[in-house]
Amino acid sequence: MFRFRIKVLLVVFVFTILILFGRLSFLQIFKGNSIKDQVRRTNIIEKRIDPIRGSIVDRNGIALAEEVPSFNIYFDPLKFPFEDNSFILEIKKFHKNTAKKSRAIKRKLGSLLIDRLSKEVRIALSDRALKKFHSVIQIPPNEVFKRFVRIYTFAIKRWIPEPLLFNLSFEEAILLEIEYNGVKGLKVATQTIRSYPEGNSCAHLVGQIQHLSEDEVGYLTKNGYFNQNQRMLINLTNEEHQYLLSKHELSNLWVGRTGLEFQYNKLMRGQSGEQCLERILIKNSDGEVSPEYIMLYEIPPKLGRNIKLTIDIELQKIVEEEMRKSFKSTISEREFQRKQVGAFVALNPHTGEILAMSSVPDFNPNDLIPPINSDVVDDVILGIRRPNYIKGLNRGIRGHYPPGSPFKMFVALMALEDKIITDKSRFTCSGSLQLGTGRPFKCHSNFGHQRLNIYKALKKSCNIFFYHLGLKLKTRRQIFWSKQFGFGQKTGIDLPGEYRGNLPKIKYSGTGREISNKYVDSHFSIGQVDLEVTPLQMARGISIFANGGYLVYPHLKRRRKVKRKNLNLNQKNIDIVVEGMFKVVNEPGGTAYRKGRLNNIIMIGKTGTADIGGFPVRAKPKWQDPLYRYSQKSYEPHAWFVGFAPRSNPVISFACISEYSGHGGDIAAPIVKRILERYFKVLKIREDKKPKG
Amino acid sequence: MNNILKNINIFILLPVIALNILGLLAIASTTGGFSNSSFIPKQIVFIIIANIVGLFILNLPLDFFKKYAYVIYGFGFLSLIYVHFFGHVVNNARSWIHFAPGMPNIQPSEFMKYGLILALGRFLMYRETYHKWSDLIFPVILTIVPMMFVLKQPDLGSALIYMPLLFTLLFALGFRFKKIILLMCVGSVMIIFLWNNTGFIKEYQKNRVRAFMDPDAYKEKEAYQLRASLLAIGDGGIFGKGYQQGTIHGFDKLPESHTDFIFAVICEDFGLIGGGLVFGLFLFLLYSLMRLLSFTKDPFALCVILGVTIIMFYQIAISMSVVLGLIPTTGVTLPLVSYGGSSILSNYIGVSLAMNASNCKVLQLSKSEFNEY
Repeated sequence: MFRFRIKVLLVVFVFTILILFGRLSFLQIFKGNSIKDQVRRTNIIEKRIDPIRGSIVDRNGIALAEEVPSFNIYFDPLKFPFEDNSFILEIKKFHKNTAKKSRAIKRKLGSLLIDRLSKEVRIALSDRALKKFHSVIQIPPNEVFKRFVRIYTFAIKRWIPEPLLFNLSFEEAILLEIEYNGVKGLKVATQTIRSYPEGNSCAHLVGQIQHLSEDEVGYLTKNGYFNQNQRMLINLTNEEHQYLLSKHELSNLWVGRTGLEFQYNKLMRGQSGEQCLERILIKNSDGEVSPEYIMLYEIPPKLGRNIKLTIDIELQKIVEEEMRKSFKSTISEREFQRKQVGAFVALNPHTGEILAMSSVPDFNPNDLIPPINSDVVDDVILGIRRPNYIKGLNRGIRGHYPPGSPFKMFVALMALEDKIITDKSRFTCSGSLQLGTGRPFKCHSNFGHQRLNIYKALKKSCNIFFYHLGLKLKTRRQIFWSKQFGFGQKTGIDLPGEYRGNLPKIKYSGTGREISNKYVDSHFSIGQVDLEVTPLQMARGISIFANGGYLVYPHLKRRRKVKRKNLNLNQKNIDIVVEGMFKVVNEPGGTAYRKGRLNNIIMIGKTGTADIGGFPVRAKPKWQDPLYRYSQKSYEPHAWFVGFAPRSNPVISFACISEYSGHGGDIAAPIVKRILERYFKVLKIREDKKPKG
Repeated sequence: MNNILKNINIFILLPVIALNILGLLAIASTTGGFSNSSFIPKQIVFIIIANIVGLFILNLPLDFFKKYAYVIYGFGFLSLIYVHFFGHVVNNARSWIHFAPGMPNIQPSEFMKYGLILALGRFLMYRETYHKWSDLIFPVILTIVPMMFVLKQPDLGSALIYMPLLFTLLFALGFRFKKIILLMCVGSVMIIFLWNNTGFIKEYQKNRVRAFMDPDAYKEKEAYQLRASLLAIGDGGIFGKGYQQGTIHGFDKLPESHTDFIFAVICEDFGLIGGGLVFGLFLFLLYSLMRLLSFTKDPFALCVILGVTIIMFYQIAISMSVVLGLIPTTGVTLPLVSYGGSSILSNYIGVSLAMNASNCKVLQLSKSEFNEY
């Protein structure tokens, strides 16, 4: 009995050990390979190497936007060793639970949670910790606290791209590194940051950049931003691999939001590189073992391309200085200084290169690099305090105004091309024109200009003369020619958000017959009715007279090939109109003669005083209506001045508008005069050469 | 000298020494090299002390143990009571006696096992043939009372060995199989009762069982060690990663890698070959211990040898099963391999007790003769 039981016991022992051995071989032989992969994956680190974003330079190579090195502090609340981490778990849970809910619900719940969080953060980051920050960096504790909370809101989305503090000095960075060395979740990183060295100049053109949102990472992934040439031996799927790369801590992904940064984002951003490290154990000569990283492979990033602009920063600065000068309000009851609101666009008339484009008021794009102060947003983008003084609006392409008198030269060219008149035909201006019954349409001279030909009509800017032309041309023909000259359509400039402008429409009766409207016919020709143009369109239109009948395509990025469209105009007709415009500026009695004339250089131009238009009594808006102020009599017209110079060999064509300011010859012409005087000094053009032929 | 060494059984000594060396290698690997590790010199000192104590025990006459079996048991029990009230706390377990700051702590539950064997052997040696329920009361009390104290420390790993030890001993000594099965059923019902009602089983212990059932749900805390252990073993493969090259224990991802999870370290560094060697050595050791049974006919000696073998077997089985993920995680050291003074010492005591018992030349005496003696 005893011996038998001992044998049974021995069998049990052997059997048990065999089972254990079986389990061991199962783990090591059958599951070995998959576990090996798994272990290796935990020891491999893939890092994204961010490319340096390309810079924007002007035509002479002066930088308008560039990357500069900076020390940033990153704060990851999910890793920071708080005493009580429960609320972070709450955030995670929140994110999980609301993954499928709509955005509005998310926002609501999120804001509730943020309120609670801000309390928690205040407790967790005791005042001492905040003061420590303050002692190192000269930012008040309250401000630091605000930024902490802001980053927590990102934490809800599990996407923490924003640095806590950035652009620290070298000393500050070193001090913080010492103070917070080894604390998880706080890290000092040397990175590059966008900088706009010219400040307010070209603010509307260069635009701004922001951090990428998590959704946009997916977009970038599709478009091949992340390098996917090599995937390590570990069996990651393509998506997993790219997700890992995009989630790399201290994310420094930027994307252009407006202006050229948006337009040429793809060119400038480059392509990210990749670094793959494996942690292994290395034995040294003493037999000690220490973990070390070895490089498995490295793919260097492709740098972003630089964008060379056609902008001449010197001209741009001159333009901005002159545009910023205020003017004297004349028509309103009391005289007072008013700030200029307006735009100036200058083109090379032969190629369509934009030499300068400015819009006042302007802003400093450096203020819009995150973290952004909310006051700046109110001021620049939303314009909450002064609705008609929005700084972020690029009036060169976004502002749409009635053209007024500058449109007359286009009508003159239309009429000459259609052979309705010649340079010898005359009309009589008696001061007003009666069309049917009703109010007579007046010329701005009460006594009339008597009989006058096209030269004098342009010089004096006679309305009656052009009413006659308009009545003969009819609306249909005028629309046709306007489209030929580039009005009512986008110019195709390489900036986002261009406005198309507006042309009057032909009305049809029920049977499909065209309804002729003498009011539209006549007022189209002086640039009123529904006609709206942008300053850029105007500058492009005037270039037709400067380059002998070509429609150019304005652009900001430099191109080798000149793209332009021949309109097949008669050079004689163009010369007739140019001669008329010559008289406007350079002959006594011209509308811009007193204030717009240049010494030695012949400038061709046309003033404009565009009425904003009143409201009929019945439709007069009440005071609550935002349109109310347009119906007030004291509101002044827009002042236009467009043209080109010098006459013999045009180097610049321009359009200048000053909003709600007064007569074109009084307000706009002097601005252009000052700008061109300074610009020609820079270009060293002192005298106009004799005109060809 | 020859006198002192003559009782040594070479077939037991060889695997013991081999296992010790393997253990030293593994401890050095996981704690940063021979020259660096602070554990290696301590472990060597422990082994030397254990050898001396073993030799001492080997040369005491078995009669001494037979005579003072209950006294030894009583001392062990007293030390358990002392630990219960004044014990030193390490890792949330009040199971250590702290002598002096420089000295290693001592874990009485490791030694209590052998006291229990002696007492059980003393009680059971002439009762091979009885099968009454009432005769079981005394040995069950002898086993359960210290087990409760150990469970209360809490040291579930050590406590787990007590009851199976009794059952297996009873089985080997010829107790009715049916009754043993019945007893085991009672035991398992008691475990369920303990699980649900009393505070004997702590919440973290329950969590470990839950984590074992569903490792993914508890992978951050309770099942972390288990997962790391399985990864380390699987990473080793057939031939291992090479000495000191295992990344799981090398990057400190496996807690307690030098004590309870030493087997995972061996498996990662030396692969299936190293693991198989350990299994072979243990099997050889168990076989050699069982072989000792044939050298003596003294019933007390037989009981002692059986008890030591059974304890050795259960420790190996539980420790290995934990590391291989077959049972929930509980702290049991791998005998003779793991780092730890108490563990090494108690194993040496056990082995030398068995060797000592095998040399007992006293013929089997009848009960009456024994009483006279």
